Amino acid sequence: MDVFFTQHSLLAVVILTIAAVTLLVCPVRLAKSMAAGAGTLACAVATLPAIFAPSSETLPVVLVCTIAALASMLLLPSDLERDDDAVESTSLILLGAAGGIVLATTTNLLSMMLGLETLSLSAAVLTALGRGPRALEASFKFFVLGAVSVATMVYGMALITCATGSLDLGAPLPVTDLERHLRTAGLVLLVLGIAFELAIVPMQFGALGAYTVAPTAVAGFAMTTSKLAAGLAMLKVANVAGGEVLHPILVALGTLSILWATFAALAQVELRAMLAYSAVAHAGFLTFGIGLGEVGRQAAVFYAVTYVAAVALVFASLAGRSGAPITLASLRAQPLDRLRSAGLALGLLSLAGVPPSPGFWAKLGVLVPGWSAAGPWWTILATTGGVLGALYYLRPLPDLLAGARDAATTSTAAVPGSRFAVTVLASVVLLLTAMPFLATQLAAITNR
Amino acid sequence: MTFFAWAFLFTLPGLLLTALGVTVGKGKRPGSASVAGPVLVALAGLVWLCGSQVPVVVRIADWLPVLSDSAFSLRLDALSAVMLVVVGLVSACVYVYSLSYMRGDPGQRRFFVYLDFFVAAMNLLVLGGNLAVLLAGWASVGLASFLLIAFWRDREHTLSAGLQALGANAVGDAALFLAAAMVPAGMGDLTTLPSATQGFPGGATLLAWLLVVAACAKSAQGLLYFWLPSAMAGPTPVSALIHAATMVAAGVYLLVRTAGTLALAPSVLETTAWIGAVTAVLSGFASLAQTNYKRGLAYSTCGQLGFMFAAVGFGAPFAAFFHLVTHASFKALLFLCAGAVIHAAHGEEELSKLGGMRHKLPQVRWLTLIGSLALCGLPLVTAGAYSKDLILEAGLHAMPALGWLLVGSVFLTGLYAGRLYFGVFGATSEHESAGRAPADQAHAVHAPDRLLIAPLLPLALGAIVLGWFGSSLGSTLQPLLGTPPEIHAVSKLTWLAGALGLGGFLTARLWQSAQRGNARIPAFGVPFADLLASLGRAIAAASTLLHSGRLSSYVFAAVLGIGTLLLWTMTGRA
Repeated sequence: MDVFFTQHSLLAVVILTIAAVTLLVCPVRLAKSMAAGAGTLACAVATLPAIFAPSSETLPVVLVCTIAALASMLLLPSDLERDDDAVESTSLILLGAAGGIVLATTTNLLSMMLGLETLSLSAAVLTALGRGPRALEASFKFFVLGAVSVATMVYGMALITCATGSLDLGAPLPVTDLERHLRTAGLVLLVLGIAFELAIVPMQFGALGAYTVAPTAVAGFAMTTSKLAAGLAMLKVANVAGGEVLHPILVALGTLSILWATFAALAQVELRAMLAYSAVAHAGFLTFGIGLGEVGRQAAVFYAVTYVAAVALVFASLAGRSGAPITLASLRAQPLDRLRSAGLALGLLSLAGVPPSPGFWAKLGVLVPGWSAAGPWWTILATTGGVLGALYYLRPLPDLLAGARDAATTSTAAVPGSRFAVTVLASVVLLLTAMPFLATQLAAITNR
Repeated sequence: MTFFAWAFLFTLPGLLLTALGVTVGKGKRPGSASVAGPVLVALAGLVWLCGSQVPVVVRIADWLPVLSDSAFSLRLDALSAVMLVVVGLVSACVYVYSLSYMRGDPGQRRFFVYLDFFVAAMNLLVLGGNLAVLLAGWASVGLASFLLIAFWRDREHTLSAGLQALGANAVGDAALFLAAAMVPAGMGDLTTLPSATQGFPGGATLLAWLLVVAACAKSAQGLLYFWLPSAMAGPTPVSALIHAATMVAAGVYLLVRTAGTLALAPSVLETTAWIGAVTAVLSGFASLAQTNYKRGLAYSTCGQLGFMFAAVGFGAPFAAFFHLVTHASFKALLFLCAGAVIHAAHGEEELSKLGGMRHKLPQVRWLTLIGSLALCGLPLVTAGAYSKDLILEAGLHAMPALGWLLVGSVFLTGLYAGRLYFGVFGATSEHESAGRAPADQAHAVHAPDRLLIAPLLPLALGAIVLGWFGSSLGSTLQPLLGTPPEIHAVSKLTWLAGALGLGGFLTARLWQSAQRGNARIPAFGVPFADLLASLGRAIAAASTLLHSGRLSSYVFAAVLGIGTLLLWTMTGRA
C-alpha cells in the first residue's frame, strides 16, 4: 500500500478525528467551555507529531489548520443559534481541520477527495448552525454545489486513473495520445473540483453565500483553512508532470475571479458580504500565482500565508457581531473597542494590499513575475482588479480609526478569547509587515 | 551618513508618542511630541548636502525573496536629500501651524498620527532605491492622503472625496505596479532602469508611458485632475502639506528621478509636455470659475504642476525640479494663509463671504501677497520667477508653440492669483467702498495666534529667496540631471513673463472691483469624476446580478464553466 501522506500528518488527522468522534458520542452533555477545552487539547496534541515530521510542509499545514480551528472554537459559541450546538460545532471544526490537513498534504487522489469532502461537509453543517433562515438556505446551496464539485473531481479521478492506472497524482505520464488527453481532461476536472473549495470562478457561488451568512468564526475558519488547503492541493496538481497545460487555465480563472469579485464587492454595503466577495478575489490572486508555474510557486504560498493571517485577524476582530448586518452606519453606532478596531483596520489594510502591509508584498510577489510568465494583458487585468480592491477595503477605515477613540464606553461586548486572538494575529501581521521574508521562508520550505 | 538613509523612520517615534497621548511643552497640546520628527528629517537632508555629498546606498538582501530583486533598497543622493529638506521643512511648518489650527478638535491626536504616517511614507518614496520600495512609499502616501481627506467624518462628502483621491491614485499605483512587473530585473536600482528595459516587449517607450501615467495620477494631470479639487474637503494644513507641496509633487519627482528612461522615449516626452501645458491652461480657467477659496488654490496647484510636467516633456528635468522646490514654499504659504483666513472666518470657505479681510488680518494679507506674487512670478524678488523662467526658456527652445502657450498662461496665473487675493483681501463694494468694515465680521473674526503666524514666516522667506539658490541647486544635482542651464536674474523673457503675471494680477483688481468682489467666469467642463463613478457603479451592479440567489443558475454556471474549460483544453487552445 502506498503511503499517501506522511505518517506524521496522518497521525494528526487521526487524533483530530478521534477527538471529534469522541465529543459527538460522549454520553455526558458537555458545557460550552468544556467542549472548547477538549477541542483545544485535541488541537495541541495533533500538532505534536507534526513537529517531528521529516516532510517540511507537514508542520506549517498542521499548524495553520489547528490554529484556525482553535480560534474558531474559541469564538464560535457567541454566534450559535442554540447553546446546545457547542459540542457539535467543536466536533465539526475538528473534522474540518482534519479534512484540510488531508487535502493539503496528500498526493493520492482518493485521499484528496476524502479531504475535500470532509472539509466542505463540515463547513456546510457549520453554516447551518448560524442564526436565521438564511443560514439554512446558504448551507443547502453550499451542500448541493459541493456535491457538483465532488462529482467533477470524481470524474477527473476516473479519467486520470484510466489513463495512468494509478490513483497517485505523481504517476508516470501515459504513453499514447488518447491516454494523455484523458489525463489532461482529468487534471482539468480535478482542478475545477478543488476550485469550489478555493471559491474561484465558475465555482464560487456556494462559498459566497456561506461566507456571508455563516457564523463569523465559521466564515473565518472556511476562508483560512479551506483556502490554504485547497491552494496547496491546487499547487500540487498544477506542478505535476504535464500539468503545464493547466497554467493558462489557472491564470484565466484567477484573473476572471479577481475582476468579477472586485467589481461585485464595490457594490456591497455590508462588511461581511464585501469580505465574501473579496475572498473570491484573493483566491483569484492565489490561482493566478499558481498558474505562473515554477516562477509563481513560492509567491503563491507566500500569498496564501499572508492572506490567511489577515483574514483571520479580520474575523477575530468581528467575532460576536453575527446576525445583524455590519455596515458603516452600524460601525459608527456601535464601534468596536480600540484593540479590535485596530485589528480590523490592520487586517483590511493587508487584504487591500496597501503598503507596507504583508498583503502588498504578496500582491507584488504574484504580479511581478506575471508579466513575463502569463503575458502583459493578464497581468494588466489582474493588477487593475488588485488596485481597485482598495476602494472597498478602505471605505470603513476612517470610521474604524475615528471610532476607536471613544469606543471604551460604547463598544459592543467583546467575545472572550477574541482579544487574545486579535493580539496574536495582529502581531503576526505586523511581524510579516516588517519581515516578509519570514513568510517566504515558509514558502521556500514548501517549495522543496 | 548611512544613518540618514533611514530618515523615513524619523517621524515614527513621534507617531508612537502622540498615539500614546504624550505631549511636550507648556500647552500640553496633542501632537506636540510629533514636531521634532520632520525637523530631524530636514536636518538629515541638510547635513548630507553640507557634507561630501557621496551617495549612500543601503541594501538588505533577501528581504522579499519572491521578487527577482529581493533587496530592500534605500538611496540617499542629491535629489533625495533636497526632497528631504523640502518635505521636512514644509512639514515642520505645517505641524506647528496645526498645533493651533486643530486646537479643540477631538481628533487632534489622530490627525498628528496620520501626519506622521504621511511624512514617513513620503520619505520612503523619496529614499526608495528600487521600484519595490518606491512603490511602497508611493501607495502609502495615497493611503495617508485618503485618511486625512476623510478626517472629518461628521462633514458631508469627505469620504467620497477621499475615495475619489484613492481611485485616481489607484490608477497610478497600477501603472507603477506594472512598471515593476515589466522590468523585474531593473528593480534593483532606479538608475539602471534604461538598461533593464532592453529586451522587453514595448521596451523603454512602454515603461515611460507607465511612469507618466503613474505621475499623472499622483500629480492630478490630464484626465486624472479631478481628485485634487475634491481633496480640499480635508483640513487646510493637509491641503498645504500633501495637496500642494509634497505628495502631488511626487509625480514630478518620479519623472525627474527616471529622466534617463524618459529620454529614451521622445514621443512620450512630447506627450508629457502637451499634457502639462494643456493642464496648466485649463486649470487656470477652472480656477477662475471657483467660488470656494481652497478649490481655487487647488486648481492653481494643478496648473503649476502642469508647468513642471511640461518642463519634463521639454527635456528639462532640472527646471521641473527647481520649480517643485520653489512651488512647495509659496503654495504651502498660500494654503496656510488661506487656512488662517478660514479659521478667522469660523470655517467659511466661500469667496463671496470672505471679502474685506485686509483690516482683520493684516499680517496674513501681506504674507498672502508675497505668496501670490511668487505664484505670478514677479521678477528678481520672488522665487517663482526664477524657476518659471527656466521652464519657459526650455519650452521656447524645445517646442516653441507650447512654450508660447505657457508664456501666455502666465497672464492667466496672475489673473487667478489676483482674483483670489483681491477677492479675500480687497475692498468689497458693499462694505469698504462705503468707508466701513463689514459689520458682521468685525467682531466675529478670530485673531490668529502666534503659532498660526510664525510658521508662515519661513515659507514667505523661501518664496522670496529660494530663486537665488538656483545655481547652487543646479551644481548639486549636476551628477544626476546633467549640466544645469544658466539661470538669469534678468532677461527679456523674465521681463515679459513678469509683466504678464503682474498684468494679470492687477487686471484681477479691476475685475474684482467691477464685480463687487464676486468676479468669476462661468463653470465649464464635463463632470468627469461623476461619469466615472456612475460607470463604476453600473459595472458593480451588473457583476452582482450573477449572484442572484437561484441555485439552478449557480449549477448552470458551474456546468457551463466546466464544459467551456474542457473544450478549451481539449481543442488545444490552452
